[in-house]
Amino acid sequence: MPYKALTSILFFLLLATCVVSAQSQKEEEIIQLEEATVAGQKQESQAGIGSKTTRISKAELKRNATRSLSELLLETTPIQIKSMGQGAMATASFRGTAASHTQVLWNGISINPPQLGSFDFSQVPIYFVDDIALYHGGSAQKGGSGSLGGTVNFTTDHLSVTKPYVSIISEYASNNTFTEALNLRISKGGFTSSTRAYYQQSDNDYRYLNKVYSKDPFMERRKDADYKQAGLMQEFYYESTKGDKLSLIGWWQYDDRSLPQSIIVNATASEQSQSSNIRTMASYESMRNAHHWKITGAYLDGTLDYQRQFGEMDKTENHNLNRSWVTQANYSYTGINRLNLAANFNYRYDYIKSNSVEDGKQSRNTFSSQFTAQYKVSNRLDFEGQTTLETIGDDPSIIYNISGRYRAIDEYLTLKASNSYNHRNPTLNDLYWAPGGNPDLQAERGYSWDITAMSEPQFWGIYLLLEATYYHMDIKDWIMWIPKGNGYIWEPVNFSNVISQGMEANATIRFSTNNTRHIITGNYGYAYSVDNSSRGDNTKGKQLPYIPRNRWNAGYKLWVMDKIWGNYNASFTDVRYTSADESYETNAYTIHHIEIGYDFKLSNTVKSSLSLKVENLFDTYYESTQYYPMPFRMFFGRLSFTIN
Amino acid sequence: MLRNMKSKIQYLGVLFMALLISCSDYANEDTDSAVPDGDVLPSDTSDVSDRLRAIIVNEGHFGYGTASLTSLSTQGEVIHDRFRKVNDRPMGDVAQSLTKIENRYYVPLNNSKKIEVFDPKTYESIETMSIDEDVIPMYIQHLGGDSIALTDQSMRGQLMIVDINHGKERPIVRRSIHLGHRSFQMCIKNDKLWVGGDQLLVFDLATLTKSGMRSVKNSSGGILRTIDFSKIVEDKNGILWALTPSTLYSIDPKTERTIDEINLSHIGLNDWVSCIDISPNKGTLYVNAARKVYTIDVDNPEKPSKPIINPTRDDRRTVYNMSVSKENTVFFCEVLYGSISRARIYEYSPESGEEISQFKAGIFPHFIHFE
Repeated sequence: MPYKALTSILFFLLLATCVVSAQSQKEEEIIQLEEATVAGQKQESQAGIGSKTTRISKAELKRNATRSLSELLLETTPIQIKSMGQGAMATASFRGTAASHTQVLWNGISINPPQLGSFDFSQVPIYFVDDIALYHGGSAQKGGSGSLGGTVNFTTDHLSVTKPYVSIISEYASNNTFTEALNLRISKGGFTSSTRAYYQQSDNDYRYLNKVYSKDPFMERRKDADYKQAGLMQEFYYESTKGDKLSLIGWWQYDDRSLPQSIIVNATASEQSQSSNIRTMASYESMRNAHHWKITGAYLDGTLDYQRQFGEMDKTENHNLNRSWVTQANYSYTGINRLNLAANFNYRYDYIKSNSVEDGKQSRNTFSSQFTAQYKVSNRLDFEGQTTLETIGDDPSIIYNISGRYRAIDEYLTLKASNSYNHRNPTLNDLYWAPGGNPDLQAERGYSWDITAMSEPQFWGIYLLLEATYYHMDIKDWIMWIPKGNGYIWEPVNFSNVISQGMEANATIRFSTNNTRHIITGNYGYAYSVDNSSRGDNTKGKQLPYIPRNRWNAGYKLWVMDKIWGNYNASFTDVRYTSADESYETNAYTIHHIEIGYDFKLSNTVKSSLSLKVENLFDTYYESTQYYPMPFRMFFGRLSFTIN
Repeated sequence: MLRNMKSKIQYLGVLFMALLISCSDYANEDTDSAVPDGDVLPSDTSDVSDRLRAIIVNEGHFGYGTASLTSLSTQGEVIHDRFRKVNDRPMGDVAQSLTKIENRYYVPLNNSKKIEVFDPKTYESIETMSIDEDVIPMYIQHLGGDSIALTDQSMRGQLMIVDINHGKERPIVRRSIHLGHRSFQMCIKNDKLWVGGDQLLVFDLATLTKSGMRSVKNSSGGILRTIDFSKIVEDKNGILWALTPSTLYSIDPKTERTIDEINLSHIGLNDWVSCIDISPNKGTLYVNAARKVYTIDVDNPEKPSKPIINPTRDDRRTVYNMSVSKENTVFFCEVLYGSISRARIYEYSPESGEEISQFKAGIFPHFIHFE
């Protein structure tokens, strides 16, 4: 193990000196210049000042506009994505934790489904996202508890435009994959309206050689993997001359997909699911002198229907409805020298209706109040403390986060550290699934510590960002579903204690010449995440299933004359064990993507871009989830127009 | 200033490296770690067929394709997952049983919906028989010639007659008999096929049709639901024995009527994983309730009162199968639910009640074939 740790350090040092990534805010500025009439804003932080935060640049969002959030996170961050294939369910986990430990916020409101808990990142088109921040560890608590591993907050921006703005993207890709996207944005007298529409469908029937099912390998096409995805988002923003802001946002997202089977299975029945999510939000924000307050209300409505069909007669169906009402009030005061104070109140009502839960429906009330103090000791040193009292039903609990930041040597070295305690309450499925739900489950509890060193030097016209974090997490009462009674019924229990520790590192090198601009980026994550429970089954100290020890990705972006651009990305995922005692594993893989594009003007108001992308450049056979093959080499051709 | 900065960075670098190195194997002690695994052979693909004692069929973790076989030689050598190593592919998903027919092994895999056929000596794959029906294949009974019966754990249950010499003109599943419930282990006695499951059924081998299907009833006319994975065993007197969740029945294979009914509710049978087996001389029945093993004399069947084997170990483990070897020792397959890891097999002496040996098998060991 020390050998592996040293290998990892050497790798990081090599990475840091020659390649490496991160999401530079300065890169965002470059891209903003390309759309000079569009002015953006950065999202409000959801975590403490000393917490490790990763931001994904506007450039990356723009380049990946037709992809899903899961694909983007895989290529540009160190977090682990477990996918069942293109268009299929994809979950994300931070720092060696489970997907259920990832909190997902949309404009600061938690949108994890209350029934299942885990969020499906394949159902978020990047086109509907203006900014993404990843908060590593348990420190992001503004949206409530639950982020034992980390938080992904994606937001829509109030982007005002001086003239009506239209963006159209049309893409065709291998496996008969079509994507169409449209954005219409107008502003007048402080009022802005933005309409976005997105549609993608794919036959997703790529060929591969099945070497695992039978004695003789055979070529087959991926069966039952087709999908359709549609989304519509309408945003209204109003900003008064005094700076008061009102926003109304509605988002409808629909997916209809077949559920492919593992290739070790002779799939004799077909399975399909349809999900529909309506997410609406209204917020009012005001700032008067040192007082800043914001009130948000949200209504989330999600349905998930599942069918299994064998032949014409035998059909199984399952219907699930999830509804949540959320209200959130934030207040902050900056009128005291060196001291900022904030309070945040959340009320959430979750309701589910399903033919798979006890009594057919269940509900839950959650109330939380949070207080934050941020103290600036000097120009170099800041501290922040945050505590949250949360009550679910009649059970109160407290979570906290403390962090600090020290600018040790100007831009050369900044140190950050944080410590947090967070918990994750059982999902409504955990509590009330019929049969098997366990209403006596305790919340999972997680302690998290991390320390980050960051450096942003500039010399000879080269901008460099280096950031490295060490973390340690201790999660108690990890919930697992295990068989009980006659073995046909499974129930969730508080089963394991998990220790996860490791490092995250990223770096960016950015430089320009007369006609070219270059950005070299890289991310590396090392996760040593082990079950620390003594059960006498040889699993103590063993890596958790599907948590790779090493993950890295690296990218190179080039602009020539601000017209021609290229992008190369490679991402590596280490071996993942598929059994708790490390006796079975699935292969490591490295995937390469390349993209070139040409931006040109059709007139003074119409700009266009043409691009070609090749994913899985070297035609590698790989599996994100074992025995679920991912597509081989795929070609994407994209044509986009902006009228402004 | 720069010199100061350099020294600070060096210091932080060392600190950071120290932190990373501390990411070493965390508290890597385990209560099982001192127990030998039993993988004592120099090669995992060694051939022990000339001294084979038993093969453990390990289900594997559902959906993960970790079904495997573990071979145990008469010298105590253990070889695990040889099929995967020899054929460079997984055996499949959720293996259920193993049957030897004319020098070939047949292993049904229920989630993969197939039967793997391979050579007992080399473990080289001979054929994969894909079952294109919406069934859950479980156990095989050779009916003679090229026919085998294959049971189905699905609730709508079928009994499939499978052609082991199928070809282009001969489908794998020759025909199916709709049972309408789950079916498990089988045996042949008096030219009849006996099928355990949600009902204990009898078919005449000569016809093997649904119209000829009979259900064995107890003295009060109730149907016999055998415990899911439990065998139907034949004693030295030619009498069949079947275990239900509360009662052990002896059955006259000629009349198809129960003879004795021994209520075992007092020993706490598990209606899912309790098993029945018989000694090599076919004179003593073994029944287990978790790790407690009771014996019943077939000539003088009485309610057992005291277990002959009653080990005390980590209670979080569960016995997933009990079988009696040809040397008249008792094997337990033990699993720890929720733990997706390779489990252990324990061998006990019925005379002393003491453990004789133990070794590591695969994930969810479930069936033992004694050679």
